[in-house]
Amino acid sequence: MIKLGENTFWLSGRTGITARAAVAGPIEGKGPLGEMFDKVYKDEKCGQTSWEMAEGQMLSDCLDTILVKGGKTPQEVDLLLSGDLLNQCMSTAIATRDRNIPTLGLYGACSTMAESMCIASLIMEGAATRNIICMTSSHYCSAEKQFRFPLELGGQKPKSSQSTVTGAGGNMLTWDGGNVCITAVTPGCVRDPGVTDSNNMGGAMAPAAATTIATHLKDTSRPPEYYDMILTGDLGELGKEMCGQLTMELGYDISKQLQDAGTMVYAPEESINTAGTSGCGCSAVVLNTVILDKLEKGELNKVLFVGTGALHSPALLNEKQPIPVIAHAVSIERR
Amino acid sequence: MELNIPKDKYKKRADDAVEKSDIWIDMLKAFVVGGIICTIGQVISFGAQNIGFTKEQAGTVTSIVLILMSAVATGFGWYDNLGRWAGAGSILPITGFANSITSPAMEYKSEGLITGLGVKMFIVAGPVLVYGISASVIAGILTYLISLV
Repeated sequence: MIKLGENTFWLSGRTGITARAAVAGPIEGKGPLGEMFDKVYKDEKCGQTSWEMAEGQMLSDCLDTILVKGGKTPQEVDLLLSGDLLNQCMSTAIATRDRNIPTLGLYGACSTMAESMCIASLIMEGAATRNIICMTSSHYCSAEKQFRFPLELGGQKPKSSQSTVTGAGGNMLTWDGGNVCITAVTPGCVRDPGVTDSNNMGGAMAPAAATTIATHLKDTSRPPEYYDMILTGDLGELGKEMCGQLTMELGYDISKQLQDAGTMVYAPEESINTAGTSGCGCSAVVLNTVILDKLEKGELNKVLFVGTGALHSPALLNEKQPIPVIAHAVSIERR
Repeated sequence: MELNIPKDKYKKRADDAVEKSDIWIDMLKAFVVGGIICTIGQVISFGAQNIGFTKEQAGTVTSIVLILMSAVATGFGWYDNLGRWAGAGSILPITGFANSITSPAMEYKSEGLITGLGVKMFIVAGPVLVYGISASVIAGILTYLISLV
């Protein structure tokens, strides 16, 4: 592993993805990824008594699926990196309790999937670890409750607003395993573009995504064409367009490669009044279903996965502070 | 690598990118739904007067019935759909106020009847109560002082 340019860590490429899982709620289940989920819940409560417990249950089921698909016992897992949107990483605590797996809790808002894969691959290069699990979750109902208003409150949202994905996704990284590997990571810097509108997260996160993408391309001396796809986490329609423009202003034309996970989860009729989806689960379920599936089959060869996060806190917003944002890039390639 | 765009300039750019809704259509929807709710109220008021309540008592009966209707609609998960379509048309009448108290009560019930429901019931309607009651106290004092002159 070497440090390259401004912020990029160039890896040996021996860290592979050997198992992946994604579970989702009923609306996501009816979307274009429906068939690819390991489990689709019949209702949002997931058999639990509260939204928080429901999210914990999803993450717990996701962990079980990764272990089964990877053929590993908890004892064989060296480390578990997990995070979510809820206060004190509630879902992670619920899903990992009594698991007997060393766990590090993360908070990177909706960038958590990319953040966990960044940290896991760096640890793999430097330490004697064999298997690390990365995972994250979000739930529409628990996120609305914590960050916005009660579900049944009758109000309106502007078209730029995004819906939190109800779902959990994760994968297992194994040293010298799998045919898809991580070749470089570019952790992002926290940006403050000055946006205060919590219904325009895409617009707020676009500068973070653009600078991380441009930094990665510059550090690695790779042209945008090197990648078959540059997948941002949850910018939505509006943020995706702004990200494309901003990256162009930084000197890179990524219009052919740029895709956004926030536009891939809902069926078209569900997304009429929103700019797309968001949440930790958004990029996690897209990456761990369709994207990694295509990489494994060879339909895609090189993907730059850019998890985007709005480090939004209701308290900070009430104090008239702008929304801090972040984006981390993970270069995923077929061996 | 950093973007060389001043914060106020980027904020404006991000704000401008947001598609604004058509204010005339919004107002029409609000007018129709708000009007229907008020008409229902008027019907209840007339009905109450017909069965022997005074005009003042009928007003109280109307409030009680409308609040009950709104709370039941919220409980069945209908009122938020109405609100998404009608906006201010369903937020401003007394039914919207009832919805703003019933919805957090439903949301926080899972955290217990005292620490959840009891504490969080007024997270939306709280400011309306605080400033509404304060304003009426001030208005009352002023009216009293003016009557002394």
